[in-house]
Amino acid sequence: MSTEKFDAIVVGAGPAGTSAALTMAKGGLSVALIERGESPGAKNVFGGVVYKWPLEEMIPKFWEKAPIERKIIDHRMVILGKDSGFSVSYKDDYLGMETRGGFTALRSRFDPWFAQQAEEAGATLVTSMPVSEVIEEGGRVVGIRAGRGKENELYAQAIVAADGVMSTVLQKAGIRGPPAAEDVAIGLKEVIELPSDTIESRFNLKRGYGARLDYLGSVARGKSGGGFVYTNSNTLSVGIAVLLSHLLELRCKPYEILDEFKSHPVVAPLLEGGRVKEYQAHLIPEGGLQSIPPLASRGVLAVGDAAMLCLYPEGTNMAMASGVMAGKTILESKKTGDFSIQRLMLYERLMKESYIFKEHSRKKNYHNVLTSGDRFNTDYPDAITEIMRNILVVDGVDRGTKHAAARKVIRDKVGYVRVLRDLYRDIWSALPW
Amino acid sequence: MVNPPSRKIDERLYVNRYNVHSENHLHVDQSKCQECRDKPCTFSCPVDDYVWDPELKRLTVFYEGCVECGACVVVCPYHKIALDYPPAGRGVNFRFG
Repeated sequence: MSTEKFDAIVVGAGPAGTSAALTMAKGGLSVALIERGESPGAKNVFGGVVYKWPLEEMIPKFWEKAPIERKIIDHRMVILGKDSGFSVSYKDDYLGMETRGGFTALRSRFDPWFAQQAEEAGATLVTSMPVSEVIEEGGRVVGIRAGRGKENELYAQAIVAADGVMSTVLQKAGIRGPPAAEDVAIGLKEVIELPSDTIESRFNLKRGYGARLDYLGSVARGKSGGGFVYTNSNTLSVGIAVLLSHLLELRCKPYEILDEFKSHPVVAPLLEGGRVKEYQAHLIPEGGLQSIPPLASRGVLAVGDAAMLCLYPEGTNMAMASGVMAGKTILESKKTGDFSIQRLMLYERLMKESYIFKEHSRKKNYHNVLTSGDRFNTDYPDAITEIMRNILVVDGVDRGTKHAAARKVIRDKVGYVRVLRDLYRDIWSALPW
Repeated sequence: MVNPPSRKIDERLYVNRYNVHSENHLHVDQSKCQECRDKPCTFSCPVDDYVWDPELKRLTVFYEGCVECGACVVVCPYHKIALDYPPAGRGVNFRFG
């Protein structure tokens, strides 16, 4: 396939790239969807939850055919102390209808299915093809070179960089470098096999429905990090993420933090008897608004992780939404025959008006909270543990005295002013809901 | 045939599926390794690909277990590590992902 020319080349067949390819193929464009793995998903890692929006806009009633693991009806947030856990849970069958509460998935099953939808719409999927270079002409990227030895070249009117957090395309095009250590977390995940009956009884679930448990607080030795346990059909996705710059301060191996999480007394019973089937790692964009690179630059539209669009706990939906907008932008260009860099800036305008930027703007303090919010990983979890232990042990001391002691704990550990300030501002960046 | 050195991480990695390429895709320029104080690649890598040999004063790179996450590229204080993805479907192939 040497020197072929397409309307658009999409690099990376993950949620972002496939969304872009599907959107454009449906609009009648010639699209090449290039994937470096032997099949879509083979190189991908994520926590495990996909959301209804914007997938439904691309594939109506997808829940009837997509490889869904479990429909999530139980959302649990757990603040871990050193040996304790304070949980808030919301469980509702309504969330399970039409996957309103999201669904768990496995990349190696979901991504090939999703890419197949793009193929059926007319996109050309090419797998096992890592992009090695971009081809530049007159100040813009006009194509890519893939593979080694064969020197295959592909040309297009526009390029979509959907090749993840370490984006080769953006780096080779000089649009951004590798991410900074304070802008990414390292995520580690194990897929742990358990019989589906065991999962259902252990997590109190009906057949086919699932729970997502997100753990905050003392996960990463007092540094910024979180953990999760998501239920799949007959596996659990169990993992941690820790800010890479904080890992450098801890000077420990990331899997030591995973092992500590797995053996935490609140977590361990959920995993008991399970067999590890896979061990994965990936970098997760955590830089928030300030880390987003130029979205439309030099003929390249950056989407998904390549554009650093993750925002805890969401990622796949932002990836998909950005892919759709990039696709729509290129469709517009095709209509008018104007693929100028100026015209492609439409993508940036669409993005700035979208859910993605509204959420990133709302959580604009997210990155600050992550890098300097030790109180969320140490002070608050410690205070909660001390207060709850004191209050829940009935030992003849009256509750009035215990409540006074609780107020003292809050005053000494964090201070009233800071609590108020956090309630007003920072807590909304730290929480998943 | 000499057995490769057994490392603790191998117990973790044996469940993964790899299609190992004959060539190392992790390119390390070791000119700064000796003066590098923390050697963050040796502890940040989730699969222990980087092992410092204090006698030879060299890094040994066990690229075979690489999960292609890119952490080493990000943490190297001298920006001397380049991750060049393995060709055509080689490297790690996640069965679950």
